[in-house]
Amino acid sequence: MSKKPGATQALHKVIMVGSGGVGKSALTLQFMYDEFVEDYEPTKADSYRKKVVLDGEEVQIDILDTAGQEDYAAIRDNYFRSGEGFLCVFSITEDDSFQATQEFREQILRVKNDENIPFLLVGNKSDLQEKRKVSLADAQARSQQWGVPYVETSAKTRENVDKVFFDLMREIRSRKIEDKSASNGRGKDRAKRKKKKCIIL
Amino acid sequence: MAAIRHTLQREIFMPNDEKLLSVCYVSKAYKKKKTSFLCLTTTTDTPGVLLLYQVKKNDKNVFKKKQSWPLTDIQTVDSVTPDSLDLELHIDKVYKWSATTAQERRTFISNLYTYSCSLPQRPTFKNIPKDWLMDPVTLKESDSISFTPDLLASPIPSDYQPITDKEAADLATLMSGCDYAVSNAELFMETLSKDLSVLDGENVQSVLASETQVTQLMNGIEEAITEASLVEARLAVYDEALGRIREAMARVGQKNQAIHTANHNARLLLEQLDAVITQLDIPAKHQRVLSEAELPGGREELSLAGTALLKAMQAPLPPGLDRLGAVSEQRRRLDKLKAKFSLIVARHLNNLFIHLGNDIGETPASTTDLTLPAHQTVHRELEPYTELMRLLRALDNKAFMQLTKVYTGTMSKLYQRDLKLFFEEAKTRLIGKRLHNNPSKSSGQKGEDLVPAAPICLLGGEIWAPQGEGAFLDSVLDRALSQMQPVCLAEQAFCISFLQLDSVLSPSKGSEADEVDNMSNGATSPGSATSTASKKLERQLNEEVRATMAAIFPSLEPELNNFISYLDKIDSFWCMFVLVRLSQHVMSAQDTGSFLSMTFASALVQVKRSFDKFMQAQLQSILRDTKVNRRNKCGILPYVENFENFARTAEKIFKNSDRKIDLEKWYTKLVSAMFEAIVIHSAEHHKTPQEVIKMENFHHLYDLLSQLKISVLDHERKEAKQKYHDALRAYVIQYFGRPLEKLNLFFEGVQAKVGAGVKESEISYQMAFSKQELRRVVKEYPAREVKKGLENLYRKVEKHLCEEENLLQVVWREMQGEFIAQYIYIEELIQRCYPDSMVTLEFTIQDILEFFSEIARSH
Repeated sequence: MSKKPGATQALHKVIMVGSGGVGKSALTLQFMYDEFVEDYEPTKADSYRKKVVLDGEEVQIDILDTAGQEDYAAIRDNYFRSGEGFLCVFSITEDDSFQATQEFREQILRVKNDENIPFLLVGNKSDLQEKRKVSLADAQARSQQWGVPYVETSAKTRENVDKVFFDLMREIRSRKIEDKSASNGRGKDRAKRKKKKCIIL
Repeated sequence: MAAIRHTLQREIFMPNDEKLLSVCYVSKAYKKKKTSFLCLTTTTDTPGVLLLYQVKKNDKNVFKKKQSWPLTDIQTVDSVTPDSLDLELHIDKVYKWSATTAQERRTFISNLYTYSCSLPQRPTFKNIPKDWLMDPVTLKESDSISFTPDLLASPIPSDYQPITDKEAADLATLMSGCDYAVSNAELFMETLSKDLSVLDGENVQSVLASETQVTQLMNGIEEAITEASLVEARLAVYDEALGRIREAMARVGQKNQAIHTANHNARLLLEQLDAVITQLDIPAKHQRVLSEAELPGGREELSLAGTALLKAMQAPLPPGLDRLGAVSEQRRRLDKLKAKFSLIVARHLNNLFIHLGNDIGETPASTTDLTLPAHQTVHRELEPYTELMRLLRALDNKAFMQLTKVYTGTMSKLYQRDLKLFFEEAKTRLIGKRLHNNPSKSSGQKGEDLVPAAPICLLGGEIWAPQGEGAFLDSVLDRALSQMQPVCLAEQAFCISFLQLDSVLSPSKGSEADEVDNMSNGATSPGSATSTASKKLERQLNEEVRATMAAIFPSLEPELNNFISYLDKIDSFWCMFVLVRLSQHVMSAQDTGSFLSMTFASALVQVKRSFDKFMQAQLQSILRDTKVNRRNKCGILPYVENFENFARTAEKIFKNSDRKIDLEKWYTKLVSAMFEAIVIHSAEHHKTPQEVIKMENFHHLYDLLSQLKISVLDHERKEAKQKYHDALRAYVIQYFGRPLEKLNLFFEGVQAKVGAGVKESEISYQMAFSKQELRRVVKEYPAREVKKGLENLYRKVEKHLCEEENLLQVVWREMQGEFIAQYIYIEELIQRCYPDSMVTLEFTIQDILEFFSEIARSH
């Protein structure tokens, strides 16, 4: 991790959100270290950084793995604020976790004040089809309603693990390019992004 | 008593062909009721066996034999006192009986004595009056066994002999001759005596009449005796004559034998002579060749002649024969021939060696690769002389040794030159690349000494800039090593065959040694003896080969070592590359005992030492060279940062190498050194708190070890994770209190009081912790103030943490949690300790969450 290239490298900040036990850490560890940890240990918050090659360009990804169980939602505000893209994870074997995504989505939108924030709805534990409680159709319906992609993953088999991170990074990247051209055009106008609520200004 | 005796005889003994001799009615001494009969019996067959029975009468009045002993088994008969009724018999044990009557006892003992007299081993009779013991000899001179008890009781003379039938018949005819005989015995007797006297007279007369005849007979006998002595004298004469002839015959026989032996000896001698001559003789043709042959033309004739010469010289002569004048003369001749032979061969080969010493070796002209020339031509040239060399060795070892020396001398010069050029070329290649890469640095300058060593990248160093020619270095090294292999092996193979290194001991010596071996080991374990002998021989052989190779390649080892040590200029990780590559060459070599393998192995030892030194330097640099930076944030310590590249490079070099274990040993050392160093260095930064440095560095290290997946460091990985969490926790605990410092102090005091035993409900009566005090402290923290405190805290944390580790969110989340927990704890304490005071903090959880959201929004 040399310092010089680090300065020029693009850095994409990804936040993992979702209820407890849906596999946020498992997905993160699988992506980071190619390992699947069987035993469950609730996360509070942990940060990871990795250099990856995204479409031929070397970039860094910062992953903030967050706690699923939090007594006070407001605690999340700060890291939601820091995130540039979100992987909203639920377990296809647990309907509650699917329902909880709604809440997460709302909080993120509120904190980021941005409808188009890079966001992926992720149905994890796709290897446990026989225990499936959330139908593909329901999940897809919700993702369509939100206007975000829906991907099913398995942290255990590594199915689609890279895909969700890379897809999200692509979205973040294109979003940044978009912002840049926008800011070039109109100076430091962030208002365009915050389409609806322009209270701060 | 007689009735009993009769019954016994009939019922008990008769059926067994035994005869009762004497009986005695006894009872067991002291037990009067147990009565039995002691019976002395004999078997009716001859010779009879004397037995003593104990017979008992059972309940049904039937007699039964209870015990029996042969009379010979009785050792002692003891009557204890003559007057008592006791009777003791010592047989297998002592039997004590009492007789019923004294008379019976006496008769029984007497009989025992009498019958036992005839036995070879008679019992001793104790305490018995002499007059009871009658020797049967005095009684009667006849076989004692034919006695009957009746006989003893009433002896009757028995010299009556009945007349035989023939006598009876004669008597009858005699009596019938005189019919009056019966009526008138006296007359008959008279007649008879008359007859008798007549017969007597006649008898005398006939005796008298035969006298002349007797005289006649005597004369005849006398004559016969004279005749016989005459015959005897004649016979003696004949015998003497025969004796003389026998002696003569024996002498003739001896003479014959001697002639035969002489013949045989002469034949043997001839054979021997023939053998000696044929063995020692060398055909004239060969002699001529030996003295006049020209090499290389006459090579084959010369080798044929040489073989013949060798055979002649080594011909086994019977002991003693070599003292013959002719033999020693022939030997001298052979020696002369030998000298000529060795002169011819040695001169020619000497010249040839020196000539070939100038061989350039064949280099495939087309390749531009680094190549060590092979000298196959030399070998090919010399190959045909192998046989001559063998002969020379057998015939003239000194000349052979001399030649060997010349050969190794010239070849060593040759190889020395080759190797020098070879390694120089290798170096130039390496440097050429280097110079090419940095033309500005050393333009125009040449020579290896001017090239500085590649910087050693130390883990503790600030900047990590390894000189990265590793792959190139590796390929050149590999090329160099693999070039040496065939050349060395070819030379070795050639030397073994050409210099006969495979027969360490000269053949004659060898066979002798073998014999000695066999003799000494005998038949005990010939298999193992030969196997150990062959092993020993092999080792000796290897040593010989190595010594020769060392003489031929004297410069190989120094050149190789020189080259290897030169490599440090090329790459910072040179020693790792060399260690891996050289190990691979050493491991893949088949003949571990060969010269090249040994050379490589010793070079490997050197390299391993360099590697260890290198790693040791790394280890030391972690603590020694590291300088904590003077910037505002400490961030990741250089060695933690550098370790990633270091480990990745090392992993790449050692991938698939069986040397990996060496590296792994160092990994553990390095990482544990880093653990220690992080703790030490964390205290040295002027601004960043210790916990933050620990937290960030251990987090980084954990992440790094997770990525590297070095299995030996798995334990360290977990440890790093733990240390990271500990540091995070310590940091949060230490700083979260800041925004509510006075409140915290107040309630710590409360807690201390409670801990000291003050009841929670009575806390408010303590001066320092009265309700007024509480109100005062609580007032100091209105919501506005708390918000400011939290914002300050956030800014501070932001300032402490470095960008790379991205732990701000993690820490902040932890602090938020801790803050809320603290709030809840204080509220609880107020509820418990000041239940009725109506005091609450001037801000609510909702406020706090609001503050958090605002902080979030403002960043």
